[in-house]
Amino acid sequence: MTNTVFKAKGLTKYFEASKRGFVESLVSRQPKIWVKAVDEIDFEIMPGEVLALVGESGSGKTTLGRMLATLETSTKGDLYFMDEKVSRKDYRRIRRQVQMVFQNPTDSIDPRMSIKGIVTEPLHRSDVGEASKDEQFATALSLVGLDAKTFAQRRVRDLSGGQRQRVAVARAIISNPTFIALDEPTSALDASVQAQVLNLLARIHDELKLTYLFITHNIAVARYISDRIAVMYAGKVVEQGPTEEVIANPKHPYTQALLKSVPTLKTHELVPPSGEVPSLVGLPTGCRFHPRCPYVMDVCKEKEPAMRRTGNVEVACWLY
Amino acid sequence: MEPEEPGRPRRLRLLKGKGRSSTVAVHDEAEVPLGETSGLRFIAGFIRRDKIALTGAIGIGIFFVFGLIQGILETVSDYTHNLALSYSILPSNPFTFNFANSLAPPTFANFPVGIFGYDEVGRSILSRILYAIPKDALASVLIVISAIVIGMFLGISAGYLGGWADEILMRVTDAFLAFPLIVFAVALSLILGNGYTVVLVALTIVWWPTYARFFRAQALTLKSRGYVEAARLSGLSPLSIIIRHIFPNAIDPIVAIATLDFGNVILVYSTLAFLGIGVQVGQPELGSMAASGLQYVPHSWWFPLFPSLVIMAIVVCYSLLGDRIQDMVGGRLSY
Repeated sequence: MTNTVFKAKGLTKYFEASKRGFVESLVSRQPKIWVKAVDEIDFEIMPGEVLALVGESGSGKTTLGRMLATLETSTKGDLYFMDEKVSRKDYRRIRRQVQMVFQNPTDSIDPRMSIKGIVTEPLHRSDVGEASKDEQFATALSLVGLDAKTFAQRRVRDLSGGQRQRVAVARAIISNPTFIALDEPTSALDASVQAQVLNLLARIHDELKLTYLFITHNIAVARYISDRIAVMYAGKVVEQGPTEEVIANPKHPYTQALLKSVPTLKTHELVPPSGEVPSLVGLPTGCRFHPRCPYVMDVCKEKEPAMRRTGNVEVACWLY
Repeated sequence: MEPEEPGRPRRLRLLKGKGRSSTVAVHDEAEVPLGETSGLRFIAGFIRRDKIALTGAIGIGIFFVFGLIQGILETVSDYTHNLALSYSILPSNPFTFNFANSLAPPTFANFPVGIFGYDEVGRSILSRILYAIPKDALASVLIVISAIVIGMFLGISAGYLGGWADEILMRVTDAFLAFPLIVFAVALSLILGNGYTVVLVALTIVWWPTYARFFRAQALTLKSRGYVEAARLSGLSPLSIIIRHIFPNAIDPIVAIATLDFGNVILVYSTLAFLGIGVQVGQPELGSMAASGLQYVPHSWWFPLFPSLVIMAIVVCYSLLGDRIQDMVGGRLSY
């Protein structure tokens, strides 16, 4: 039994803000501008757990998910999968055990292929015969609550949003992976379908003993599905801990602000975090949240707070 | 509506377009029956329903069917040295001089030989136009298809692989794009000799870069699609991703562009012929007929007019069809 499915140490991803062609790069004297999508993040994902990654748009949560799914290579820092360090040449091997479900189900299914072709795509390299392929297809589809016979030859345009996302989930589980990164899997769906898909994901997690990284901007969804929660702000994890604790007693001012901005049936007034989302190109000095923070102190403007453990929760804030 | 049968899923019958119907089983969530929304079969269905596109398609159809038959006859007669075979389905021999008819105006006498008039040595202009058709048909098909194949191979590789491969392939493409067509064709025919094949080669060399750029752009957009990333996660090699996902999804807009392009090839080919590039002395050619007829204008206006009209008609047919397909693929038409 391994200790962690994924472990990251100082994991960093910078993107070049303006891509230059070869000729331009010879001539241009301007320094390269980097977008700091993910900046020196440490975290662990334990086997069998659901880690929810919460944050606003542009906080780097999708980039982090894509790095775990080997779709992006980190700029700096180390990533360990099953306690083994990941390098580029391991991608092929890791991809057998890692899958991803994307935000937009319409975009993640090839409009020209049959549902069967899409779902069984991950099986292409294992030497499975047609018969066992059919069998695995039927199992995967029944796990996501679709009838294999009805859907095998259909195309994505014949399906509703919920069905599309179910098909995407079926593709992710058919190769029997260890870990799935779910990138906002329900945010393109309406509320009732979202509930169905969330239940489905929770059931599949238990039945197949999977590990999830659940990326969402919706803290209520995160609360429903996750064991642990990590709050991201401008490329940094600012708070992480057991879901119930973080939500019952949010420590970081940003987490508090996020929770105040969740609409529920009882709230009459929403309090969104004030101020602008910081640009990832020119980040504020010191604590990234200080221009928007209600408890800002002098130290916040100068020095970046490190992650500190208080109880079960880790938080990066000078208040603790 | 069919009567409901017990024990079977309820079926809805939906009418789509003219007389087309599709049957869809009702399932748990709302079904979205759309029929084909992409692919060649869909484009074919669209042409059948759209009058403008159909007009173009019929014109092109006639052009190609005739071009094929006449082309086969010409090739066979060339190999068997039986000249009579090459004009066996034409109204008259396009090569014999008949000075009695020289520059005679269009006439219905001896129908249909004289309806387009006669040239300076009394040959039927209609027969000569028809004799020239296969070359134009072959040129348009051959050049566009080879341009697509070369452009697809290079463009998709450049776009999908990115980085250095992209940089090198696209700079090569730029270099070819910089060739001025006519100067290049003249230079090539000076080196390789003046002939039909040389013109085909010259046109192909200048024609593919546009397609390479187009396929590259397509590959770049498709590369970041969810299904391509999912395929990468599934462990597919870049080659199988290109074959399975990139190519089938890139081809739709290319069909529209290619249809318009067939007409462009014919125009450029005729321009070259007009300038005398790639034309064998005595062989009928639409562009060179227009050129040699020009000196008899205005008196013998029919001599350059009819070859030019035929060029125009073919190009207009391609434009009608290509334009409509492009509108449809681009979503500007409801269908």
